Amino acid sequence: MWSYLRYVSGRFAIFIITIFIAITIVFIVPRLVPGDPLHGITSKLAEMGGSRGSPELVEEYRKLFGLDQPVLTQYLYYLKELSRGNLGYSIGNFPVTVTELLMRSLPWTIGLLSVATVISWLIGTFIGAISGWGGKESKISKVLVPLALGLYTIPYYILAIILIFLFVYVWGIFPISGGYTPGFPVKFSLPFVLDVIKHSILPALSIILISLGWWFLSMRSMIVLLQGEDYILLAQAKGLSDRRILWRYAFRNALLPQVSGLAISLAHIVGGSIILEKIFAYPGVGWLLYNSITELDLPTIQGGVLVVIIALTAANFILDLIYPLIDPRIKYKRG
Amino acid sequence: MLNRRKLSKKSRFTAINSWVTTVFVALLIFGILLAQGVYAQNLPRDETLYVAVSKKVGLGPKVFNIYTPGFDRSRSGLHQLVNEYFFYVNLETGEYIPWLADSYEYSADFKKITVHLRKEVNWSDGWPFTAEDVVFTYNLLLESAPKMTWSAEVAAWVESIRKLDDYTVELTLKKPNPRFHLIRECFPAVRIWGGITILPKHIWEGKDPVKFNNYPPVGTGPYRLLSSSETAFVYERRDNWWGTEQYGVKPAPKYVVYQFFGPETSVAIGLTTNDIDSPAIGILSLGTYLEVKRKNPYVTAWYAKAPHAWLDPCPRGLMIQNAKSPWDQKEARWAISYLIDRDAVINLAYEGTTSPSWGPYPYYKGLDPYFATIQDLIEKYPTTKYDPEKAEEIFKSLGFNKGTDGVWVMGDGSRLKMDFLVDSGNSEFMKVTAVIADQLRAGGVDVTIKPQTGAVQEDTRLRGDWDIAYQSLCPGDTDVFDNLELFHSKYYVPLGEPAPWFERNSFRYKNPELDAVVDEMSATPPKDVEKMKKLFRQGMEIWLEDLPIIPIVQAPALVPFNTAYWVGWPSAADPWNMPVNWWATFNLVISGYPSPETGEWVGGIRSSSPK
Repeated sequence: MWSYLRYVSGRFAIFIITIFIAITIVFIVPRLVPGDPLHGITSKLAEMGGSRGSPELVEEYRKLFGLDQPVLTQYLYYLKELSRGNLGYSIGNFPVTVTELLMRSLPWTIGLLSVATVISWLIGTFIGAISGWGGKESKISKVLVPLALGLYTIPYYILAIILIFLFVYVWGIFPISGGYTPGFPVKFSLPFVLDVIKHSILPALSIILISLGWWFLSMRSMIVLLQGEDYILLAQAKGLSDRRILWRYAFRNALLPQVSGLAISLAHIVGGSIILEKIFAYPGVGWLLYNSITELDLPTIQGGVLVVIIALTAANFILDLIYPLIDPRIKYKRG
Repeated sequence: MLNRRKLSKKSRFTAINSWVTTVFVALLIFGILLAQGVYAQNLPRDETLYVAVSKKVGLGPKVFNIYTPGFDRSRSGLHQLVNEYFFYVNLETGEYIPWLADSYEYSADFKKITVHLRKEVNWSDGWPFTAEDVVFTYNLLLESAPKMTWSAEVAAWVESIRKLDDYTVELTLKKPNPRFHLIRECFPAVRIWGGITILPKHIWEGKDPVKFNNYPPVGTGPYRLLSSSETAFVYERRDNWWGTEQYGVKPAPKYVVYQFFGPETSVAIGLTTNDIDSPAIGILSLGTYLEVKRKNPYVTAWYAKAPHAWLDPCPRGLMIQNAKSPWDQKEARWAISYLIDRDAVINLAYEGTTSPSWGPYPYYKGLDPYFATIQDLIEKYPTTKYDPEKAEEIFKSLGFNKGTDGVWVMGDGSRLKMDFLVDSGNSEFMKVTAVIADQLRAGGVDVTIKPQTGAVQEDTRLRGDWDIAYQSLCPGDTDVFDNLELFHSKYYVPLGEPAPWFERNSFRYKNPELDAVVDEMSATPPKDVEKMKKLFRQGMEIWLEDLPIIPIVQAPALVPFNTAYWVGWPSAADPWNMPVNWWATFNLVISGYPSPETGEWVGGIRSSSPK
């Protein structure tokens, strides 16, 4: 027990240090890129025709965002505000705060991508297990393996366009894009929830179909490998039912790398999916991050990337904590 | 082992079979619920106008502060539907259309302008629109300068404002300006795109104007905001709009939706399935448009046949860095112009949707009288001519020799190189850049394309770290002054320092003679057409001889319209207005307007199947 606690505290320290280093890198790197962080404002003013706005206005906003201060002062201020949970105002979206932007887009991203990822993982893992257990010669493998390989190699935005063509243009079943129907009253009601689900089906389907291939293939190969293991042969010799051997013995042992993969995939979700959000005009954090990077919107880059970093390091931290508990083969000792 | 396989197949089949049944039943129930839930509450299609915009509105659904620098007034639909302006200019007809104001007049010294407002106009919350609102708005901009959009410009021109009566205001200017009523950054009149916006005093008073969200927005326009989301803004017609009360006219669509539908493919599908009525500029390429038109005969554009596109007021030109050698010599700039085959650019990059441009102006009818005065100059200075031999002659006269690799070598022994900066986020510019770069290479110039985007591109461009770059020349208008003023040396900054903007002398040209002409133009009332013509000729003679930038083509604006639900769109066959859904003037496309000459109601889109 003590060794586990020591292990946990060690991992926690690494978790905190990783976040601190990442915060610092995220602060420094965008500042090394040549370009004016006020581009988010000036480019929009320029869209209004022929001028980036008066120099006085640009300088006023430079002061407002503290960009006229030395970098060290900006860094200390950033750390101080961060410790209070304040991510500041977005430059390109002023007067909207970074927190508000993230809170507005993260639910859509997490809602769509987490459900799609989990569904894909569940289907891929279970079918992969059944297919792997049946062996190379089974009919299910002969059909699904080439299909999974095919799906895995198609870029998901191509699949997305094909889905739009079929389900919107040819059959007219689903809406072209968006998170919900314009004009629909936004409230927690059954029609609204169904409308949101209806809008999410095509983007979700494109993610599910593509990532399904990977989950299927990885699970299948694990199960195939396990079939020759001594404990499987022993179980068969004991006369256990085939279904019991598959789900109780082979499946559980093959699950560990799949769970790790799922955890990392779920952590990546908070970064959003830029292309998917663009093709389906889906509200989400991917487009926000992409825009903030091209516009050099420093507070939004810092806030958005911070969320991604925390999610990834937290996922790794949690996995590290869970591993020794769920897999008795893994033990951690000092030295 | 054989046994295991037999047993396992049976058990697997049973398991899969029960799974499939369960999933199928669940999906069926889910599908029925979805269909029930959605179709009950959509906006009625035959009463809704759908405009597709090119990207999401950054500030999102809860910020409608038109004076916040990052606010997107076009893609949100705000300045077309909720806000209104004193006057609108119809570039197609040349009319200056009174709207929230009836008339204006200058003092004899052009230091004062008096504006007479329209009476019996109400804000959408019922409050009357009066001189109080106008005075409040100008004072707010003056007090908040430079933080609010265009407030610095207002502060640079306006000394003070006072109310003469409830419907009359008088603006005192800091210096005389006979075209103050044409400066959109200072006066609420719309020529191109938009202008400053009068705010309701009763809503904005006491608020921090920089951080005020202004949600929901209150305006005098014919629509009010019904709902807004990350990707769509829905507006509903106001039955008590002043236009309806004073003229008995009601805009035809009950609802207008400004929506981001996704990329070109999604918009093309939306147009084909009649889910979109009018996409914004720059979304559809000609090829896609023609395919949509083939599948859906209801879809059309300004011209029903080639070149299809309307002329946008921002002609395209090749900026050339005048501050760098050898481009500081006008002969070298002319040589580059002769190396460009504009017809090839039009065919390859624009799919034939536009025409060559001889100068920095859009080909609008209102400018024809001015163009007529310089026809001999246009012939003398053939800016659209493709003549590689002439270019070779010029390069030789500058002491250049062609190297063994076909690239010109200058007098100092260095090769003739050009860095061609391009905004990689702009597909039009990327295509044109590729074509022109090839043409220049064929002419013996070692061209390197430098694609950049976003803040990095802006920084490089403004600091002048390039030799050539393709660019729109805005503002462009019915007044010849603006596009010549872009070349005034007051915008000149040395290399390495940021220029005011791309077309505002990032090419670093200066000529005191042209400055003098532009200065005199600025003091001449636009109504003094004869004097303006004389000055225009003087200015253009200098401009054409110097060729500070290289004009390439007129700007094509391919703006399709869908006539399945709405008809009466302006077109080349019936050019009663400009077909632009992103300008504030779109208000008049939807509702029509009373002719300033006859008072008769002109245009307005109509339902294709009126009830």
